[in-house]
Amino acid sequence: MEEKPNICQQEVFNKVYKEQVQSLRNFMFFKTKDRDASYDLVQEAFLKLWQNCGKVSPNKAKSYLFTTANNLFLNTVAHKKVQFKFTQGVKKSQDNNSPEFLLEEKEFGQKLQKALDSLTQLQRTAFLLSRVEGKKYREIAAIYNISEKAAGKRVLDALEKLRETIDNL
Amino acid sequence: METKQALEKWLNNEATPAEMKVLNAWPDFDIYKKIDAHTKRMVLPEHDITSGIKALIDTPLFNKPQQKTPKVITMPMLLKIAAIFILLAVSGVFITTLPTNIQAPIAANQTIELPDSSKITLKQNGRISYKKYGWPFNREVSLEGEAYFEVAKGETFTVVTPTGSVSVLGTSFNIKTENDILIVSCFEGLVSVKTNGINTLVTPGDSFSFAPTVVNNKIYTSKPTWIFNESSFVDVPLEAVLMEIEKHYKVTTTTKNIDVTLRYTGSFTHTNLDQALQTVTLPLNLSFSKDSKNEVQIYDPKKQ
Repeated sequence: MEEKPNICQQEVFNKVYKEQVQSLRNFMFFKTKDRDASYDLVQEAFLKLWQNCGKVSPNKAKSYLFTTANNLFLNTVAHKKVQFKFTQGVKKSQDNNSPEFLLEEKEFGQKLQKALDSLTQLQRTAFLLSRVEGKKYREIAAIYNISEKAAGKRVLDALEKLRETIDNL
Repeated sequence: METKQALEKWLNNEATPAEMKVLNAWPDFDIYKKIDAHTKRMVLPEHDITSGIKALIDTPLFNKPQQKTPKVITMPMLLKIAAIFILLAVSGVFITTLPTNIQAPIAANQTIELPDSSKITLKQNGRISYKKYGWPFNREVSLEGEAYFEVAKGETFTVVTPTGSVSVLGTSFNIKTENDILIVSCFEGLVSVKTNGINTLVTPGDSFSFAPTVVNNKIYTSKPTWIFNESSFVDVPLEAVLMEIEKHYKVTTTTKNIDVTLRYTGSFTHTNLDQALQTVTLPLNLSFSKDSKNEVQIYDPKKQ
């Protein structure tokens, strides 16, 4: 009898880690807006996966990780208010270095940060998964276990709310 | 509405050229594009895979997965086959030693056909036990009460009774057990009776009563009479015959002016009390009277 790939095998676990860790980290980062907190949540989610390696088959690992990380995140906000630290959010534009442009860019960046803060956690995460991660509505729907239509609406609502907030600042 | 739909598609990178045309002609699209472009420049935390895994391995909890892989016990094919055979053998032994118990009803005889088509007629109230599934290897029957056996030819057939065991090869015989009494009557073939370590051969036409002492009587029928619902006696005291009548008809008998040690040879039916009483009393020149309370009196008409 051939032994099937099992997450309890270190090499299988490492492979899952390599494949999933960055997107999971981004997901947690969008939620927490915090580099360190997102790191801790990701590591904890993988630890849980290892502890339950016998129960989770490799093809279910991704969904298990996202669900677990999300639950862990909800547990943390339950007793700890999330601190807003979204400092390194923007890269400097390289093609246009005029002072006016840079100032405007900087201003816009600050407005965007404030606008992103004004979104609900769910709207923000869905929007960032779509824009930054380039995830399709289908993939976002899978993470939240909602319909594709609802995922699309969530991203669009987020964009419209951002625009509204920026206009009013 | 059209623009909103196009915008939603654009966010999913699925806008068609026609929809792009609509969006580009829409003044508000610039700000959306700007938000999108700016958001995309977000600096993400870079997750270091190597140090991440190392950090995990260094966690004390990491070394012991709480949920261990379920261990599957595998064994070589040969062992599997052997295990199946052992299981079959054990269950075979178990099944062949299962006893079958049969008790005849209180007021009727019961005929039992054994797996080798040997026949047992079990007298009312009798009880036998044998191993149905082990029968081809072990022709052995335990008996309490009285039964008539017609044994098919084959290996030794043994009847175990509390007093002794009866072995035959193929024959017809009757066994009666009651308390310590064992009466074996042979109608065909040859019967071997073992009591207290002594073997006695019973030949056709012989009826041996074992215990307390061995008594040999002759039988004149080809089958025991109880098979035909009759009780038969050869040179038996009247007292014993009356007891048998009491047993079969649930009556009480009394005697008047009679010598109860009178010897009787004959039989009585189990189906009609008057007939039975007549067949017993007439040969001995006796009479009987019945009353309503199931009491029967036997008397000598000459001594009235």
